[in-house]
Amino acid sequence: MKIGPYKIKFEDRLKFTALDATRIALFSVILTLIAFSAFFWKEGINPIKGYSEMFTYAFATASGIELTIRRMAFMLFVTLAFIIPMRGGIWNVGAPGQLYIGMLAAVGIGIWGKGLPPGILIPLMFLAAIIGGGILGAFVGYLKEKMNVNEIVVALMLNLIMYYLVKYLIEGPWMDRSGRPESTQLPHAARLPMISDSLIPYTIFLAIALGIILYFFLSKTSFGYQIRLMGTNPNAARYSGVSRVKIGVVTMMMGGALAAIAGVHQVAGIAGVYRIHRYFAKFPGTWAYYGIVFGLIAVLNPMAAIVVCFLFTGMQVGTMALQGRLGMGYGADLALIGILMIFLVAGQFFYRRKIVFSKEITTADGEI
Amino acid sequence: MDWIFVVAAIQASMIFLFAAIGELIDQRSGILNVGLEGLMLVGALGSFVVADATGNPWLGFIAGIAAGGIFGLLHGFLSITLKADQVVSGMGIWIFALGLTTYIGNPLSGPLNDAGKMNGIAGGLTPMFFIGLLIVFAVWFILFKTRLGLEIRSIGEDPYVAEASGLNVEKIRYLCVIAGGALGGLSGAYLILVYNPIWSPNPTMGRGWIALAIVFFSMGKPKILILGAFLLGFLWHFALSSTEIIPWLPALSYHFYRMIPFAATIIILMIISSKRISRKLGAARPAALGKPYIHNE
Repeated sequence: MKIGPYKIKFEDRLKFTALDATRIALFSVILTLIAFSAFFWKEGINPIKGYSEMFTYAFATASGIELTIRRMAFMLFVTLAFIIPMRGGIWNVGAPGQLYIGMLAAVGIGIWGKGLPPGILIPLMFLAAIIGGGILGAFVGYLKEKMNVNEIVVALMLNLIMYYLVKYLIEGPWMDRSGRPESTQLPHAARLPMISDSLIPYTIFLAIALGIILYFFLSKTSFGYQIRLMGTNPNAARYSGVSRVKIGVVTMMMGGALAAIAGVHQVAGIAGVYRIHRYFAKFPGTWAYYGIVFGLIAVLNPMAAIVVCFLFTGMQVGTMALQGRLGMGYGADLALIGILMIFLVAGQFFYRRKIVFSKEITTADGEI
Repeated sequence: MDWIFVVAAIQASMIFLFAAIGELIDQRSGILNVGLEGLMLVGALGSFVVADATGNPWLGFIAGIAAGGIFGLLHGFLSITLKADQVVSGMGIWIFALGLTTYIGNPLSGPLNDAGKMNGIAGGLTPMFFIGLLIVFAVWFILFKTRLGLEIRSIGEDPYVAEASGLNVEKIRYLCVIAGGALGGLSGAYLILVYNPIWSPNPTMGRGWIALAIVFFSMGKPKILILGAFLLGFLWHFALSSTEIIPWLPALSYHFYRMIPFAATIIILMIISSKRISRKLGAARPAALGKPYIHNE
């Protein structure tokens, strides 16, 4: 192919670095933003105005940035819940189910331990959620590695089972007296503390700290190395004596626990009641699926996930704000994430190939 | 069990059957499409939009099949031409379809225009049911009794050998993903035009994943696949109104009965994946499934 004096061709990559991956992800994002302009056109909104409203709201207004940071903690937990098992070669699409069990455990303990002081109650809630999510995750990991059952299907089935369990509890035993499909309010002692006057719970620091810790866990510890080896070269891992089942169960247990913490954050830090979010009503825990997309953008790097989650949660918050401000249709944020996902997948082509531009030197007599 | 229940359950089964047989074509050619749920979603939306506007269910079916085929083609482009990881690509197809159908479908939420619905002819069974049976038979016949089917299956086993013996691997794989996508679209169309003619976000509710599970546990054998589709179709419909069908069942909250098809899927997968059973059935999983085919130029 030729553009002007340049000749373009694809060449095989000899090596592929994290920087290359970042560059490809960035390029996918730019293409997504261009493609998403079509949605603005369809709604009769000037794309430039749309994007400026979107980013201004998410990052430059007081209420917007607060919302972005609040939700970023949630997204970071579910993104890490996807990243850790994926590094070991397992797809954790079970975050919604693990999230639900985390919420369930937190509310159960919160209601049960009414009189306890927050210093005891809140750690108990986290502990219960981590155990619940961990067991659910480990179950999937065990089936996958020990019995060779496809982990994606099992996790999806568990998500739907957990969805009905949650629905049962909030429409039944735990239903609020008002008759709304919500649980009763959590006691005050079970609410997570907020940073000074804001509405941001301290779990944001926990999320960021986990991102950093897990980065060093994967890159510096020997168990982290075993996980990465299992993910990149399972045969080599097997020959060097790494247990497939152990890696599968432990990484999925960590993933499940992380998603469950997102559940505690959501129920005790944000909502205060146990409910299926408006968005969760039809899609079991749709937001938890964002972890997959964000994890892929962050090229499965827990440290990079912190930045990615901040920026893309902002985009999600901004797009949802557009639904109210400029009358964008419902589901626009999901459409944006969907387009992003497709471009990310297409970008994988360049994991093995690269584009080379070369200028043809033409001499006066037309010889090359 | 009365006849109305049986008809509805058969229709629920057909949804699984179309999607699963489509995925079978994909997998036999060595392409894994985990975005089956996404194909069903676009098929459902396409058929709903067209049938609602024109009042003609046949046009609705065509639109659903076309929408599924286009998304199948997209999966083919990503995984065959761009050689992306097939699982990543399939997840992409699903999330993309979920976002797109929610956004486009939202203003249309509500019941389908009466004229757009396909009505039953023989005891409540729709014409599409009989056509569907023919399609399933044709797919089985092509895959297992014709030369093309042999070529498809040999590509699924070893694309390099197939290429060396003169087959065009990419062309046949494209054919398979488009056909598989079209059947996924048909499944979504059947759901929305026959089984439950109402548009709401995410109308498939996990059916695509169950269909995927059916293909996994059928291990490429159409007989088990059909059996599995009918088993889960009956379970799915039974879960909707269990206590009305079997009155002596405990009066648990309906939520627990709704979990039945999902729990059953996990249990069946566990049983069939156990070593003893999978050896007895002779696991016929295509050897090259899920691996991108890269030429050596």
